Amino acid sequence: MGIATFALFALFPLFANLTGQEYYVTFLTRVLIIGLAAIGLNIALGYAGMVSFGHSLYIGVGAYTVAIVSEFGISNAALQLGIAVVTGVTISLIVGLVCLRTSGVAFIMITLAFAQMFYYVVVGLKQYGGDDGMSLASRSTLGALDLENNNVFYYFCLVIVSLVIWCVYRMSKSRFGSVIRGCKLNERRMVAIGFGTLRYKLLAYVISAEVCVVAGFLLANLAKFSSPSYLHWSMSGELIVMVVLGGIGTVLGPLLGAISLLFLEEVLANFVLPLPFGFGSFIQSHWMLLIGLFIVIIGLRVQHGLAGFINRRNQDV
Amino acid sequence: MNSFLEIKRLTKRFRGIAASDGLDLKVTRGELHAIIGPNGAGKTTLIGQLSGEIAPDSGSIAFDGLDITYMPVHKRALLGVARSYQITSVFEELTVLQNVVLSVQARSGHSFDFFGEVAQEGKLLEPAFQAIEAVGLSESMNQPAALLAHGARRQLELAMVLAMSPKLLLLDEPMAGTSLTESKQIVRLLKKLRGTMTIVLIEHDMQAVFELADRISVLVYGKVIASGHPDEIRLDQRVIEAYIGEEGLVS
Repeated sequence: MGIATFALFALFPLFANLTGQEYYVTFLTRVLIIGLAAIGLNIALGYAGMVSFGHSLYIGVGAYTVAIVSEFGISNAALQLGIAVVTGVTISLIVGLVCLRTSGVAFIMITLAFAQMFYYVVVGLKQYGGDDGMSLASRSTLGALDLENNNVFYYFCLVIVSLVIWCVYRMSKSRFGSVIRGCKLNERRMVAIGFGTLRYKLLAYVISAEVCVVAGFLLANLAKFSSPSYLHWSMSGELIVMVVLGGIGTVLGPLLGAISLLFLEEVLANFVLPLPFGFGSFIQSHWMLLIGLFIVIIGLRVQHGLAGFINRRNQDV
Repeated sequence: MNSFLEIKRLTKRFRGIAASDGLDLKVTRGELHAIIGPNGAGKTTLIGQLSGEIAPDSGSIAFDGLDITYMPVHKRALLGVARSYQITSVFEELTVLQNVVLSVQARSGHSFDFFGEVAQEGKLLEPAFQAIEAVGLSESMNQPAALLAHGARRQLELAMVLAMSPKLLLLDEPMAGTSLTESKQIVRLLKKLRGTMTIVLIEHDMQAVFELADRISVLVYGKVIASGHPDEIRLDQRVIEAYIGEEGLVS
């Protein structure tokens, strides 16, 4: 399934350019980037069982680092990413240490509280756009790569997402992967057999946050814009929905969740479906209703989300 | 002879009720020391304080000359203190092998390895195979723990504890709820382990206790009222009194 998905993504720009639908290259880039953030969240949520309701914070860290450092004339992508990751590690270490003193519902609420706190900090940064957000003069530069070209930028994102997916796949089978899965399944037992669980959970949280930082970096580059809305709690919520929809704790699930959710949104909101009795336009104006229904059905009927559904189908054949 | 485990004046109260009430106990290196006593005598609380999950109000616990009274659970585990639970606590979604491999992994270096595959690591698999074979679960190696019968889960619990290569084994009613065949298997296993490591055993099956123990301590209301060789305990007047009306102390 992984290779088929990759091939589809790799061939898409050719098809889009041939048919003159360049807009969809940009749209699919966005899908990849949001999918990347969901993959990041899944490391904490799916593998380590930490329900973070505040990962939008790290998308914001990535996006605003790019926007702010490019104001100061730093446009090299590697350098920007380096600064963003260092900032992200610092923040996530501190936030993680505080949040991991709690668990369950308290953990959910405190991660949300931190994200909201940073949201208001960003809104208050008047010299960096405040409420209105902040434009980038140009995309980041990276040697001979012309990231201003939408196709090049698309492949740049695809390479990063593929790399991260491969790393997550390896991690899921590694020692570290088994330790964080153990923490999710039965933490008391993990401690009893001799694991100091805090350090592993904290590291999982930091790694998960850094993937979102990278997603934020890409997102700001895509739109050449950094907005406080990236840090809004609804972004964190959407990411959780994508992970659960696609398949919690599966390698490709979060990406599938992002694809299906964003495609549905795109189709339902922009096209009038050919339905009788004016249903088409009713759906167009109330498309969120259908999406909600879709999520409920998947949540109720399918274990392990879309990825679990596809895996089972493959095994049956 | 110096004590491998020395408990002094250990006290723990739950809302005024003393689960450990100035408890003194010495366990010698290499012995199988059984702890018996009526229900509510504080046996599981004692094990909890030895493993570190319950912090005592006062008193001290020395393990191999080291004061471990307030040491965190995972550090004791790495020193070689391993416990099994009265109510089985395993990783339900993982297979028998994965459960035991995690146990081995805890004692085999750090786990900040993100790329090597656990399923390919002989260093982790070999000791796991041995522990699984020792408890007699080889045939169910690849079954998820959730699908095991009650007795087999107890065996898995034991395998996980053995895989920690412990120096001090704390067993909280390992035979509770097992079938006759399974408990015979566990008795056989404990006989084999006896002498290779120090074992503290809580068990209600008196026949098994008197068959296995090198020494027995009797715990009543949080205090050790008698400690000694099984034959001495059998004849001890205080022990017989404590057990009258509880359960007959068998011949």
